[in-house]
Amino acid sequence: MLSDKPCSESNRFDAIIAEFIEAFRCNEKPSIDEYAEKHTEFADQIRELLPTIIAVEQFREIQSDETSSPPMPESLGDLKIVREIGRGGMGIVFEAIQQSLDRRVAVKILPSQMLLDEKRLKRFTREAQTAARLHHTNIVPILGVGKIDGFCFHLMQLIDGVAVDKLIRQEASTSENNTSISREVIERFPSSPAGIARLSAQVADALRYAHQQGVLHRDIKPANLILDTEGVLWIADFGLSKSVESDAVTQTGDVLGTIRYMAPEQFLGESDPRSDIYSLGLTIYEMLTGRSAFGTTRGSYPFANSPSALPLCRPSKWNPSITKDLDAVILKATALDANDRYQTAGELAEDLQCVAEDRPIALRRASIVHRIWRWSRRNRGYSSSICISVSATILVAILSTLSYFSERELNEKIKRALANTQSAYNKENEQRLKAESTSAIAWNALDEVFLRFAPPGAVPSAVINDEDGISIRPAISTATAEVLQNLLPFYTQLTQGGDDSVEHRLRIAEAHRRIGDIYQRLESYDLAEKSFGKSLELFHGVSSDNKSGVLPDVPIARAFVYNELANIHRAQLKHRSEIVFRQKALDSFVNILSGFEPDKTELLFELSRTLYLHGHHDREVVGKPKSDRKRELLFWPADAKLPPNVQEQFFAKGISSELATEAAIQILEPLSENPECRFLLALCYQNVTRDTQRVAAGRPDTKAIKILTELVDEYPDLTEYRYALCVAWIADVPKGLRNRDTIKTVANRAQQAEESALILVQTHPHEPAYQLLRARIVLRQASNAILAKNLHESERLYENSRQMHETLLQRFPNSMPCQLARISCLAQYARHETRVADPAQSRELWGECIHAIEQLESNGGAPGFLRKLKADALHQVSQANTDEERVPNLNAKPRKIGAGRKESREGLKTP
Amino acid sequence: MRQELGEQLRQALSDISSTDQEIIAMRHFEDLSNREIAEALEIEQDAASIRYVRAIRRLKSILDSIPGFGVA
Repeated sequence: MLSDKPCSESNRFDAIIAEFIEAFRCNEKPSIDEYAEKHTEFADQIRELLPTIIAVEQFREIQSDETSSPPMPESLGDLKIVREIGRGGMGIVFEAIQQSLDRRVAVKILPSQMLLDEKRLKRFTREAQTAARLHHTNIVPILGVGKIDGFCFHLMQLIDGVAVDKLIRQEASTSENNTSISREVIERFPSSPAGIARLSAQVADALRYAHQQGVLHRDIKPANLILDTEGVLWIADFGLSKSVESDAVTQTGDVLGTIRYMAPEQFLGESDPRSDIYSLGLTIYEMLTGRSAFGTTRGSYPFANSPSALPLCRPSKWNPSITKDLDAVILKATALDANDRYQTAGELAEDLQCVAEDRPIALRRASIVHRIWRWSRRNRGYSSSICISVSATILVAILSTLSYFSERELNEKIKRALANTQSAYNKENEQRLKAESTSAIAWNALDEVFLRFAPPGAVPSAVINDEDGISIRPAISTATAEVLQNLLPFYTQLTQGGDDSVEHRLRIAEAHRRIGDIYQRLESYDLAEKSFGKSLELFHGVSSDNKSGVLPDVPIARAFVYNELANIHRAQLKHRSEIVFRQKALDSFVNILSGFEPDKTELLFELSRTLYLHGHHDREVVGKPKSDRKRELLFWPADAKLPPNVQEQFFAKGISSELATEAAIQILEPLSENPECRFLLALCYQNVTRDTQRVAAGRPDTKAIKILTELVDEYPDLTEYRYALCVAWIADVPKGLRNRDTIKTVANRAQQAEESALILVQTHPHEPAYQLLRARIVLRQASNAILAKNLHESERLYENSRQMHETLLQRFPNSMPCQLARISCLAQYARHETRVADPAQSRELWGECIHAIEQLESNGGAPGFLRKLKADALHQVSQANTDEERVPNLNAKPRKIGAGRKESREGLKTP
Repeated sequence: MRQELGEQLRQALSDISSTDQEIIAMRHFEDLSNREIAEALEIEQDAASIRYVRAIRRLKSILDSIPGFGVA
């Protein structure tokens, strides 16, 4: 007897059988005799058993033939079968009409000829029972169960959609399946990783719900997810689900599920909610990369050959637009050890949502605290006692859940939260409430929302300066503006009342600062200035009253506010008052610079920021006469103590904008461990690309790009860094560095910018700032094409860019950045036309440009820097008019640019 | 002929014990290797192999008893 033989032999025998079966399935018609002769030691067993094994294999073939063309019942009682929709391991799904209710339903029929035993039947019925308990927007509802004519079936809601496996393999678009439904669904299937994360979050949430109900799915895979025409992703087929509590039937070691998506522990017959998380992780992996996580072999899976399965390779290897965060989420969900995975589907859903919204995921939140250290450090320790009133509780509860929602939903919720807190406010003891509503918890919750929505608008780095001196700030969407607007009352509430403690007074000062910040981002400069003023006043009050303790954060906070005030004045082109405030910012450092150094990095950061901002002037300042520029010097506070290198080089001098950037670089270079400092350093390098001397000394543009690239690699989700990198990529190459390679360099950079900006647009489809960025990149490519002397290409690109700008303006008609960007685009396009020497076209473009400026002027909102452009444009129009008149006399008066002349249409007409 | 073979085998398969059914189903219908089956059933690989051979042997004896079944 075989069973009496030593173990190793039975193993070898097994290998022979496996080989035989494999050969049989490959249609190689293996001969039993041959096998017996080849393996003489097993000859008897081979001759004894293989015929039966062949019989079973033949039966298997018959089975699969039958299942592929089953006898389709025309009707089942009340149900009229319409067509087959799909098939899975446990049955075939048909579309049917339930005649009594005249509705379309899906019917899942268990194939009666498949090993139909008690066990399967029981499981089938239980499937209905467990699934029918589930009510979730992403779970296909079970409507009923029945057994008619020997067919067991489920009734399910019919989803007009396409299974995700088909979407991944793009089968849905093949001609056979090219129905209007599948076309609609394909359009809904997101192409961006963020979109897929958002979609997957729905499924993870449905799993969370099911798990809470004690139901496991046990067979999550692409084929069991259906995307409908509304873009909702459904989990179908809670078919193998078993109650977490009661597991009578399937406990016996039945291996369920589709092998490829099964978690390692499922092979051991164990399943828990974390197994579903694993399967979902693999499914998302496939959705993201379009490939199986374990290669493409059918039925292959990680445990086939090695007992210690390999961890997956990062999804971003296959799709570089996948962020590190999303990589981390997928790898965590698919960890081999269930203890290393997300422990609940809710956590996975939350992180997927974070990825979708480009917020830091829980996994990485700890490592990016740097990002908000400027805020959080200052808030630290302001409140020692936390007690929460009803109103504060409501506030916190609502605010802390807000992060799940889109801007639009968010606005509704914020409004409601405000109403709730205010009614609670009225009911409660006023004194008590005032103290509590400023509690650290409410503050932090509010800050979370703020930081999420605060656009990078206050950072001058984000401003795109064009060659006409137009500064284009990032546009913010109206929804974001509304969120910010809606946050204001909360901050206002925080400023009211309370006790006299230093902590509390600082918090109120902070709240005013934040209000100013919001108004600034909304470009309500008067209100912003007022709030900043109030904030300063309060900070002053606290520090002058507080003789005993040291409040190192206050001077930094004051410098910050002064800098913002200066920025506001700059935005309004009030350069003189800008300098006054900038000087005050610098003066704020006087005591701490000379005295102790409490937190050097933060202090030096704000100091450098002050210098950087001073150095970051708009172009029109550059050409000014010296007498004017003298007024633009900053002066160090008298007894300031600077870092030695800076002290030596810069202290004695008045600080011009060039020197300021220079000094900021000196201060920041040693601080490069801190990402914010590195970021600022990159911006400084970028600042000096216009400074010929500095350019000669080293390649600041390359340095800036290098730093920003590193930052984007390290923090791929911080859009601020990526945005700045894109802006750096499309910046002018410094004049001193232009050479033969320039054309190649600028083309490469623009290409990289285009790719990176696409990521921003895909992850934030509704953020005008990123769309605007793309339009600007095309504009840069257009002028690059001119460098490459490819006028046809530049023509095309200018037209593209113009159309993008027009579209943007149509979508955001009130957005100043979009209007300015369009004007800038028109001017550049018009200049190109001047080069091409098409007076008619150029006149038209200049005319549009003038018209746009005049429109802004009539609304009273035209920034001063447009004046020069308008004058220029008017001049060009008259020039174009003259040119057109003079066309016949081409030779009489050659124009400046002769190259394009011959190709111009007017020129060709010339006799 | 094919149909007949199918019917006979279905009959034979339903006559063997559920443990035997299970291991044959795993091996032949769920495409699991012996190692995978062992992992799923939490038994030694050798044990799984032996169980499988036994199940096949029992199936054979049932098929053998069916008159005219041309396996052996």
